[in-house]
Amino acid sequence: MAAMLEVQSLSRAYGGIRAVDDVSFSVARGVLTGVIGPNGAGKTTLFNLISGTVRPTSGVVLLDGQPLAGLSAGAVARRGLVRTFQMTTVFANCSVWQNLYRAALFRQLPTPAALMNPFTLKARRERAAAAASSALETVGMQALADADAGSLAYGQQKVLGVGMALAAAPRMLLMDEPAAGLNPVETEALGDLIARVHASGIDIILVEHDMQMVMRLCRRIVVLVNGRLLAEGDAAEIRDNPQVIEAYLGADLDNA
Amino acid sequence: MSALSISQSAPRLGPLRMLAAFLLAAAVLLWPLAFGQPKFLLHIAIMIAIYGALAMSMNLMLRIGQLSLAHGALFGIGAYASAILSRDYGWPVELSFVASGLIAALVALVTGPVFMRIKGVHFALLTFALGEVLVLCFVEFSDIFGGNNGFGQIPAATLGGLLPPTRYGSYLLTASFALAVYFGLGALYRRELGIITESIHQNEALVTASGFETLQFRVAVFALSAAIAGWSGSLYAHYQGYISPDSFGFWTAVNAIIMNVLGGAATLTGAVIGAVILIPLPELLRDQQQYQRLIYGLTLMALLLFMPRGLLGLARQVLSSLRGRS
Repeated sequence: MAAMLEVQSLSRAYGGIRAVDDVSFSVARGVLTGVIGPNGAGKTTLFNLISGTVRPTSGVVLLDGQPLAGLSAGAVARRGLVRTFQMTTVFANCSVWQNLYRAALFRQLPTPAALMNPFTLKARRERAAAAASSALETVGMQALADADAGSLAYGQQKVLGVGMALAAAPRMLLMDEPAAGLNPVETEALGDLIARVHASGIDIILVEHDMQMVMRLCRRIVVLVNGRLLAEGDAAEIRDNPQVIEAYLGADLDNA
Repeated sequence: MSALSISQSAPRLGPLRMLAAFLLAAAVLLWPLAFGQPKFLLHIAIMIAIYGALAMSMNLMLRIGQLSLAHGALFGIGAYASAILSRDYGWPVELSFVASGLIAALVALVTGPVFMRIKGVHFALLTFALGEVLVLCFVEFSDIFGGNNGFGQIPAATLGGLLPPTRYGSYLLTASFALAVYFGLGALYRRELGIITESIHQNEALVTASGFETLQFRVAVFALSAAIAGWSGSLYAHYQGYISPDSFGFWTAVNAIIMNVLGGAATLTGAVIGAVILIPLPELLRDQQQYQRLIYGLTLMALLLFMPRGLLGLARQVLSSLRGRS
């Protein structure tokens, strides 16, 4: 199977601290992959390295065989690797539909050259509207289309966030702790949505704290501890790996 | 369903508002005919048109959240470019005018890719430094720019004899330009430019995450803003016939910002209202020469303190409270 995303000996140092230290793994096409690790394991840094908001000290990230090095965050998204946010991030003062339309519009008109081209403007607007409508349907928010995004419940705002990522026409979603702050019912619903999106042919990497969600959704799991790759395998292998239990669950117990 | 909500961002004006815009333009351009073309009032009105356009170019910068203190110098670049091209190189005034905005935009395109990465106070300071450097160039390279003594005998714009060679002719030109900026930028604000600037203001990371090139966009907006500032400067030069470096310093930029804050509500109309109030103020205070600056400063402080959302904000507040009472 071809790798959709490949991370090759990726490192990022902040001063003397190696937040991400020589991490390599790959995400095969069609295999929903989770990245887990205790707090401070380097998940967020890894996430930012892959999405292009932080430059690596060394190492490369390949999307569908193409290196992402040196691309702006916007260009990474246009290649098809679209991120979602941990905190809800929506445009609070406009409607659900407007939120989706905006995300689609930014994707359709990403540069001044595109914005200033009067010949393609109408077609791009229409494509954005179509992408927004299709995202609206995928996340099942048709009834809320005209509601103010800021008035939605936290869980709904997170779903809208996923919808906005979908409106930007991703090939692969990079999700930053989608379950953070959700109650069990919302988490379950979001899990269903993620599974549905994945089934529709969009690859997904889930960087997540919620073990249950990862165990339920991910066919492959990568475990990060102290910036290093500790283990890699399917859910059962990870669950039974004594190192993981010690490092991850042990750390979690200490926190509790 | 909500494909209907696209109409929220419908870019065109309705017929009624189109008529209102037409009447506004006609009133702005034709009032001097009804009042016997009063010379002094026309001078004030021309200054309002020129500085109003500069204030609107500043409005564009404020929309992307970047307070530029270089706009006085960009205004100056337009003025000097147009003056030099028309007087020393014999270009037609019309062509010099077009070039002046493009040259100012070029300065923005060259500095923008670096400057536009810088936000907040640092950007303000950086543009302040750029402005000072440019004004220093106007002073120091006296062979080209005439030094502190300035630069005179700048030909007036006549549009090939189309304009009457009177002050009213100058007014028609500058007011038309201000109207074009007002309606042109207004149209852009109602379209994608408005959506994008507003979204960047709210959450830039979210805009970038959808694949948008925020930096390129900022540079393009800076260039457009600089072009408008440059064209305003060109009109200033051809109207005054004489320019000197002290017209293009830090205070010119600050005044353009004050006009936006004073008019308030972050709209183009607010910027123009700010110009309408601020420009005549020194003239009205002319009799109290020694107190002019003091009164000017105190008036500004009072306006800013008691009307934090500017005059438009105040008007809206009054209107809504009137409506609430009835």
